[in-house]
Amino acid sequence: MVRLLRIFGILFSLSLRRQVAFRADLVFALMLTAINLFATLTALAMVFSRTSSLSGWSADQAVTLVGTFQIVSGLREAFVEPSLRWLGKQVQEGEFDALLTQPAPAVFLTSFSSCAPLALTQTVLGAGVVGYGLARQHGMTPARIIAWAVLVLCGAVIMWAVRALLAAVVFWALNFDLDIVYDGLWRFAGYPISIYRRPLRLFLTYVIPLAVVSTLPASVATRSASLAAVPVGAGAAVLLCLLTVTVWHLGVARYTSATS
Amino acid sequence: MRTFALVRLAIWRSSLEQWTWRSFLITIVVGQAVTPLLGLFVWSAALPGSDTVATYFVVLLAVQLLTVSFEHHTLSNGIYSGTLSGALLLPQPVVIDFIGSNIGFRLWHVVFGLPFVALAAAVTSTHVTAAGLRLAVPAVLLAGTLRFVFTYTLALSALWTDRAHAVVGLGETVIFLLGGTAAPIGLLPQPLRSLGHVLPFWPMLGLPAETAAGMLRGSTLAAAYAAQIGWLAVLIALAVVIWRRGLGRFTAVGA
Repeated sequence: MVRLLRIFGILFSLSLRRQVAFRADLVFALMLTAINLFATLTALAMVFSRTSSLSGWSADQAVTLVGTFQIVSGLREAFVEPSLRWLGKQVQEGEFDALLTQPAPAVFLTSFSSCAPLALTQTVLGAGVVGYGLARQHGMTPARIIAWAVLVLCGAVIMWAVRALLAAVVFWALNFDLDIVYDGLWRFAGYPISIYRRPLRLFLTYVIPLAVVSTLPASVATRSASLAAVPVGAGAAVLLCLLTVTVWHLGVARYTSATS
Repeated sequence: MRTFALVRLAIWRSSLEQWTWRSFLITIVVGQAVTPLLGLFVWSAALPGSDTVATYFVVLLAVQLLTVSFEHHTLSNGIYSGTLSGALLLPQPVVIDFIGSNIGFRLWHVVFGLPFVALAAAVTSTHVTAAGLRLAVPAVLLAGTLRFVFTYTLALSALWTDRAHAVVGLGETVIFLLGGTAAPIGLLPQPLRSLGHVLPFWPMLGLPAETAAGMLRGSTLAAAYAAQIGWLAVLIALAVVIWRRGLGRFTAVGA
């Protein structure tokens, strides 16, 4: 585990140095992130200009949810997407061979071999939004803030696990790329799960538990949801991780280089 | 006449080529359907029982699929990879292949996206009339042309910067906010509502959806059509100017 963390630290450091070398890109990335966040919050303000409650969520509670979603989205763009996005191409063209010869698990290297540290600006801005949302809540306790942080961590783990699980489909269906489908599904996590109809709500809670990414942490922090949500979220994260690692083992066993 | 024949040929060629990666195409259609569906869920929860809002977003989903534009992938990537130089040598206007590719994409979006529209219409109280749909046909055609010209113009930024995808992304963000996706333009708070009505983004998406949903009639509809035609003339003129200025900078790979 320590060795993996050390490898991850080195990979992150390399990516960071590569990205900050281009200062204009840094400014542009900051600007784009700020504009996208502004657009999201403006869209939310449009909704709350017509209603005071969105399926039971007040404007401040919804802002906390949006901020939480931005935090995990930033982590996704910074650490997971830059590597996993290329898995389909690597498997199709046989480049995946090179990863299998490295002295670290394939699922780890495929997920984190390159990073986009500038995307962490989204996480920082999201944290600011959460801070604003929480500051406008009454009766916040340290226990609820800690529970929120733990659930965000669980949400980040689930985000990675589901993404890696969908990416692993390429080992069975070479031309079936689910990146864009995951992008679409991911956006459903940017709103309270309660706004969706029952089948979709159940799907996003029990099948692909994106509810843990933003709805659950924001509920615990702002809506007096039971703290029992924390072990539930942690359990879901652990189970999904185990499932992902198992599926990857099976998938890698099927891989037969460029002819697979 | 020759131009129409060339466009028809380009559509045929592009749509056949796009069919070869149809599984990926289906995932793109799913991605395109998400934003209008989110709007449907959010606004149905905000204004429960409003049939007009449900109808609007279901029609907006159809309009979104009918007007998709990917010139940042076709044109901008052609500029970055240098393949645009091949298109410049052909004895036809460069834009023809991009029009063919655009329409090809839209045809497949309709084919693969129709089940989503039908499903959304079935589970909501969608109500459209034949008259509304008839009135919306020219509005959709104009909206599709406007969106193509707008995206094409933004994609030409690839002649100056390597950030053309982000430039087009910014344009899409503005369409999301003021084009009728984040909210039907009539539900926007002032001054965004007035701003939305005078800018070219609502005519690209929300206007045809409102027309089909029966939210625009009579003189308002006539004024809306006039706005579409006016903005189309402005954007075409702008695209021509930018193309002429940018072409001088094109140096094949490394542009």
